[in-house]
Amino acid sequence: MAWDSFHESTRFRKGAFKRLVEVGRVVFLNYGDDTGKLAVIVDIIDHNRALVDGPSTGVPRHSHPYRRLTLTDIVIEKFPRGARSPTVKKFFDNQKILEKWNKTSWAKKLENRKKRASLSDFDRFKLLKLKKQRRFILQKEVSALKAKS
Amino acid sequence: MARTNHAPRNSFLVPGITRYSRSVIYSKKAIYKRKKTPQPKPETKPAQFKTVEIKGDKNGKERFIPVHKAPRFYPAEDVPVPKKSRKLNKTTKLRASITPGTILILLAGRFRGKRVVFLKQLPGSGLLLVTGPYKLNGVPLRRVNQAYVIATTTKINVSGLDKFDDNYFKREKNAKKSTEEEFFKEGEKKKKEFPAEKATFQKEVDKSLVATIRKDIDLYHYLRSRFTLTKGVFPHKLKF
Amino acid sequence: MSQRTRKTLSKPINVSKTKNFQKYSHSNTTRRNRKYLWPTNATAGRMVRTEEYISFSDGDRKLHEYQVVGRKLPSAKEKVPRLYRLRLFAPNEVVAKSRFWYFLKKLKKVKKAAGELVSINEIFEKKPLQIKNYGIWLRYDSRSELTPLSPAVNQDMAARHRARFSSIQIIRVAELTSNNVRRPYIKQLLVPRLRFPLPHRVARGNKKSTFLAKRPSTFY
Repeated sequence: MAWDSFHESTRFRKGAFKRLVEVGRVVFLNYGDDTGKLAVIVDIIDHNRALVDGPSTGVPRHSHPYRRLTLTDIVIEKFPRGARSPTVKKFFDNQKILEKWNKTSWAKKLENRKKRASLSDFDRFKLLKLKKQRRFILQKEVSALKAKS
Repeated sequence: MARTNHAPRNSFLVPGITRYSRSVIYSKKAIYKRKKTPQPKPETKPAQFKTVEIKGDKNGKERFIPVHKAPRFYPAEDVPVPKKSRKLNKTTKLRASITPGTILILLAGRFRGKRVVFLKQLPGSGLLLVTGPYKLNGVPLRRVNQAYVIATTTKINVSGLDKFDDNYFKREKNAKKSTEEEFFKEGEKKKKEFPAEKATFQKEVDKSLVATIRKDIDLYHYLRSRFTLTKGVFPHKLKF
Repeated sequence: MSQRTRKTLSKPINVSKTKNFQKYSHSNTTRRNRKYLWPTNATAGRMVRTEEYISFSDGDRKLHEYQVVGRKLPSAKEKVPRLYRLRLFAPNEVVAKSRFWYFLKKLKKVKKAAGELVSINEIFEKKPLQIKNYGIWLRYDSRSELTPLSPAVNQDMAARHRARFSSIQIIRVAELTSNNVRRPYIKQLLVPRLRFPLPHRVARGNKKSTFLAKRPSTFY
């Protein structure tokens, strides 16, 4: 399928793909100095890289390859192409993108991972104990239910 | 980066004559930047002279003479006198993370993996004095090198034990086996009993510790358990 | 090699003759995000995206744009010689100077031995953080004797025509309006409200192991 006709067909619907490279798409950078930060696609350079910017998240405006970012589900609405940093910040903050991001299970998972990594040896032990307790309660219930049926 | 062998900055031109003078080396090594730690001087000099009473009326009663009489002859041969070493044994510097009351994880030896309480650094050997407490996990009062230990961030209150030192761990010398009979009997001998005083001392030390640990039931269980690694857990990535 | 011919262009290389070279303003080209080249000869017209090579961030691999000004040495006959200014692309200043004398020798009767450099300075892109399309006009030695005036300069040139830096001469670089873009794969990007998926991706980041029992999910 030629690209042009692809665009025609996807102009109004997303098709099978859930996340698209487009201006205003919020992306998660997974390489370089800004690993783990959010940014917005401000403009598309070519098939391999985009111009991204994240003034609210401390990402400088730079060209970033698609290989080294992950597209998120979030898109900034009515985002003007090639917007400058202050405008990017305005759109990002006004549409509460960070809040939206923090609500996603992806962000929560990352947060949990961070929390888990910062646990001390004693904390890990306490966690292990609590898990054991939960398991005990759960298994007791399950076996009771099993016995019933 | 690979570590390269360090060649001395100052080489010998001919044996005994160095390339750089002392003052040049002083500036090259930037010794002027370092803090000087002067060698403590002995407080009192030993007396060089003494007064001696002299008998007889005409002899002035007292005489001021040197303590050591100068030898009458010079030595016939040069006998080399060993140089006095001015080196001092410094006490081992502990990691900043190890302070009295820190929970440590032992890494080597019979008690590897056990979590123990650090009591204090021993002044003579610089080793860590550590106790299980014995009642909780079977680790007695013990000396450990800090290299064989992981310090955790968990700490408890520890006090006392000021007078404790390395002498506690000194071995008793066995009396020499005098007779042949005793020598052959040795195999039959029973295991030596743990000295009672040490056992009571251990109890004494642990008593207050166990009391504080018991207040936190999690901590109590924590000290009773061993530290282990499981699949996919990398100790260098863990926070302790 | 002697069989190779080099067709000269109808338009000469951009050499401005002036005593007052400063009045010539610099173009806002240097750090390009996208570039194309197309020859003045319409029959051989093609555009080449030259991003990697001519995009001039740091790194020796990439080309920089220099403005070099030089003149003949003053003599009794000509006390105030004419200044010649060349805008050229080179990996560094040394090469830029060399290229300056190379071109000047060909175009004017001025050699390095009897000439001097007046100034050399790098030209930077005015708005490096804005995406634009560039066209590059150039000429190059082709493999066959017939030399079409087609593109060269960079990876793309090297890839499509096996041309090297030594056999490429850049004539002009200018920003393009989108209706002047020629290469189809760039034309694709000029669609308003452009969007496209990234099919079949392996998510990177926090790699646990190179070898896994489970195939990664490539749906995106």
